[in-house]
Amino acid sequence: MKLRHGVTLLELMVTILILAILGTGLTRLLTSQARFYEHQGAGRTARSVSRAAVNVLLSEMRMVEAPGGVVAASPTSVTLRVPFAVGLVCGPVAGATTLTLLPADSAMLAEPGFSGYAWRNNAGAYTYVEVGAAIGNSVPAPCTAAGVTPVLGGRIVAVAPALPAGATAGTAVLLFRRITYDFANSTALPGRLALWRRVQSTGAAEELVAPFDASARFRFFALDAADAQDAAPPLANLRGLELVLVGESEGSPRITSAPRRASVTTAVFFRNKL
Amino acid sequence: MSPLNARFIARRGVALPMVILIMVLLTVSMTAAFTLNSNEVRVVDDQQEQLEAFALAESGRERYLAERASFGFTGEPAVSESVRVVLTNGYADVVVRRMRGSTATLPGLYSLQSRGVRTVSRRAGVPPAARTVGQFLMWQVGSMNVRAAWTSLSGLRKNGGSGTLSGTDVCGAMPNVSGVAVPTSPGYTQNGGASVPSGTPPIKDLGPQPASDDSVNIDWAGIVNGGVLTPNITIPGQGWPSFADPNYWPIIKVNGDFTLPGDGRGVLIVTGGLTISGARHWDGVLMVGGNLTSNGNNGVDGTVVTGLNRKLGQVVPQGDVGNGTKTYRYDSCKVARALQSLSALVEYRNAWADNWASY
Repeated sequence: MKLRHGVTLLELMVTILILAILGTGLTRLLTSQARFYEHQGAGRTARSVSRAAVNVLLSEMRMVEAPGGVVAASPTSVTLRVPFAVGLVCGPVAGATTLTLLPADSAMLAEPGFSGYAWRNNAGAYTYVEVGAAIGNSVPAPCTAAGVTPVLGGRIVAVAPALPAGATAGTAVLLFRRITYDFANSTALPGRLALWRRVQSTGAAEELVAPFDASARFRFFALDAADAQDAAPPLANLRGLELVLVGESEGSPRITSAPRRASVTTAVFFRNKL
Repeated sequence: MSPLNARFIARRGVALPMVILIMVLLTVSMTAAFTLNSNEVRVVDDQQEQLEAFALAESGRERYLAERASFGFTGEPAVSESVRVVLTNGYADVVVRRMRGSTATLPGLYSLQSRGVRTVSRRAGVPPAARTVGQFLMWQVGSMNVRAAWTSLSGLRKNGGSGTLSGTDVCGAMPNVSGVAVPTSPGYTQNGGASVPSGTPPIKDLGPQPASDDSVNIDWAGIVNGGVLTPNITIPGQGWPSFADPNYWPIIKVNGDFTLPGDGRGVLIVTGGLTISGARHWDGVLMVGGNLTSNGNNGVDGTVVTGLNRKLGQVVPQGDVGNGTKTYRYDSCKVARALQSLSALVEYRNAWADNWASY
């Protein structure tokens, strides 16, 4: 009789028990790991939301001029005259004024939405011109005539209406766009809050980043004040913004059943100020 | 081998496959976690490096402006000048280009480009972070709000009608000023002869004291305490210089009373009283804390301001011009030349750019 190998019922039960114990442990391990990674991933997303917002805002807001660069301000919305180029007056040309600009980021220069220009008087204060403002290319001749050598790589443009006679050759000029940054409902993530960038003259609205917690807001640095305040001061006294960016994860990890939040608070001060 | 032994050897267990499975799962999980965290670290690192590069660019710009002379640059810049400012963990390449040279009536204009570059080692294949900022600069000449050929915050008394106290610009480059500028009381008094001062107007009333003290925009406290300007020569401590070189226009500061030992030019600052005897002559600017006592037929071409210690709250008696044929004339060219050493390359405020194209 051939010897047949087999397992006893006892062996089978012990094996099943051991496998059950191991399987349960493994499943729990994998489940907890998955939740942990989900939790961590949500945190990373939330931090990424906050960081992305900081990058966009800082580079544009630094060049804002004070006291004339802020048009409106509230905890959820600020409208700024954001300079995208700085130049010097060369001279008049056919109802306009020719400027030589410092070399500027081409994407910033090319973006539509020119709102106007501001020219600086001898005391350092800027006068903003927006009504009927237009910009176009110009030629170096007015600069040559004024003895002003354009900067290598910088553009030569003409702005209308022409600057007043007091704005002689060498007067500094800012070219700007009116831009509103606000926390409003997201279209990418309905029901959530997004940071928007809206170019006033074109109506172009760009959802910069989402989602944010409802506590994300702007705070304000007033003239001669060391700390930021919640309420916007008189606009002429506004010298900088504190950005309270409370980013959220898109989903809610199962561990917390609520979106993860990551708060980044930073400040940006207007560098072109008296 | 007996069948029994073969049976034991041939049996397969689950322990090893299970261990391998778990190790694979853990390895995959750890790799995924490591990758995710590495990506975040890289993003944060890039952002931090960008901020550091911005700080380097700004530091280079500010250090160049504050310590331009220490980089070997003096006077008004030529067509261009550049310097690498070495900083902690990086450097800034500062390039200044002339856009308009100075003229008699217009300041020189320059563009400044400061490119901050980090030098700390980064991940393989990742370029160093760099950021460029820009600004307009201007060549600011030393200037002085000249009110008169002779401005005396303590008033002025002249004996006789001889001499010249003229606010008519000798070199004709600037509008004429007054011959003398004095407070309402004590004002300008003259003992005999026709009134000597001439100019536009001949005698300027600075108003009553002490408000008249503020009409002269000179930071006398800063000058006396040594914080506002750096003299070329300080007396006592150093000797009276030679003026053989006609292009030598020093700033001389004298602490205390002083008697002018010879002719000269430049800016002479005397914290006490100044006495000029004989036929001495000075070209440029005289600033005197006390009174100027003039004995003889001496003169100044430029401008004179006396009684400045009143701005420190001190009592200064009315100045006495004394006898003799004095010639004190306003000369804007000599004033400008004397103040030339106070010129500096300064930032054209409110004209700073963060988006200088650096590609």
